[in-house]
Amino acid sequence: MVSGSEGREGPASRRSLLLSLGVGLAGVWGAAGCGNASRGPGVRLDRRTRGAGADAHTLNQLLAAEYYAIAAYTAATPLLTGTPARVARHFLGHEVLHADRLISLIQRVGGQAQQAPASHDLGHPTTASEIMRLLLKAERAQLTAYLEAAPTLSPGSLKAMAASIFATQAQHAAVWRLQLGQMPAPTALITGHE
Amino acid sequence: MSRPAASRRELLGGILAGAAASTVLASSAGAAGAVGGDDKLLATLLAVERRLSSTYHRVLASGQLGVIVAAEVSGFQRQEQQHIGALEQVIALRGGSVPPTARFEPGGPPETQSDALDLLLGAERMAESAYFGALSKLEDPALVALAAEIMASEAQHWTVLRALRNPGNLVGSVPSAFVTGSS
Repeated sequence: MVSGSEGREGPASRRSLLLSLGVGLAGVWGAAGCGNASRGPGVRLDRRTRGAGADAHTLNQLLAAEYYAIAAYTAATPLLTGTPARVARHFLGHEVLHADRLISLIQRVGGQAQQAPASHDLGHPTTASEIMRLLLKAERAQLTAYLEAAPTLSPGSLKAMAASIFATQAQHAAVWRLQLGQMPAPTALITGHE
Repeated sequence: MSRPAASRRELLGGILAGAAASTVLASSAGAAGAVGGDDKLLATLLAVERRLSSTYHRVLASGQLGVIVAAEVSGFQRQEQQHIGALEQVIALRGGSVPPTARFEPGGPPETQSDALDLLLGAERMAESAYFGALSKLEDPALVALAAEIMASEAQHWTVLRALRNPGNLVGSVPSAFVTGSS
């Protein structure tokens, strides 16, 4: 299963990113909700913020993890049915909101958001169980990335924003484990390795 | 971007050997200029965890939960105890004194399973909010990581409790793309 879009040159704008991902934008935004809670926590940040350059680099690394998850959800959602399909569509909306937030922050610190890769090798899952395992794997990869990143970010509000997304990915992982018949919350500390 | 994850896991299990403990102590105490601020935040988070644990105790003692739900909730209470243990050990390793447990007003027992789950959902939301607030102020990178790991655990609890409360609405178990503890 390969998911992706046409490669492009240059930095991503928020609009070009979202369109380039091949995501049904209106549906995703609708599924994710457009209320205050979906905008995310406020972050005081601009290019004069101490450590802004390093933060832009770290945020781009997180954006790469979000691109992978968006590609996985985009490819997987049409192959699922019933509750897993509804959940996948809902979570895809969350991932798009995360990517949108990251691109916005990268631009505010004067950085250039990287484009999504032309394609992602997602393996060859065929059954619903295999597809949900792929989505769980994508969530775990994001958990690892966000947990490594959060302590290194400079402004406190940016650390909190990263932790906020990290906690959401942990919720996603719990739901996929539930769907797979596993213990949804197996450990007291979330690291992405559980 | 490295972090002492193994040290924190050892802390949880209470198996931290003396040499390793010294390493963590040096790492935590030396990392931040505003150590006093971090210590106050740790004390606040410990109080939040203790209150949360007492809510779990109150709900389980009410006898309102069905067998399957009670088993899940008992597991979460054990994880809350692990959070408390981790915070207490970090406070001790940083040279602080672990604050005594405050008495909490117990409140009336929940009268139905739905009431009991609502009580826990509210308590977990408050814990998320406390961690989210602390994360914007903590300076020691190791403490930022620990707080994020616990906050995500509380978020998972909330999601599973919500699924137990509304089993037909799994999508509603993760209502927002950003966990902040506000509804």
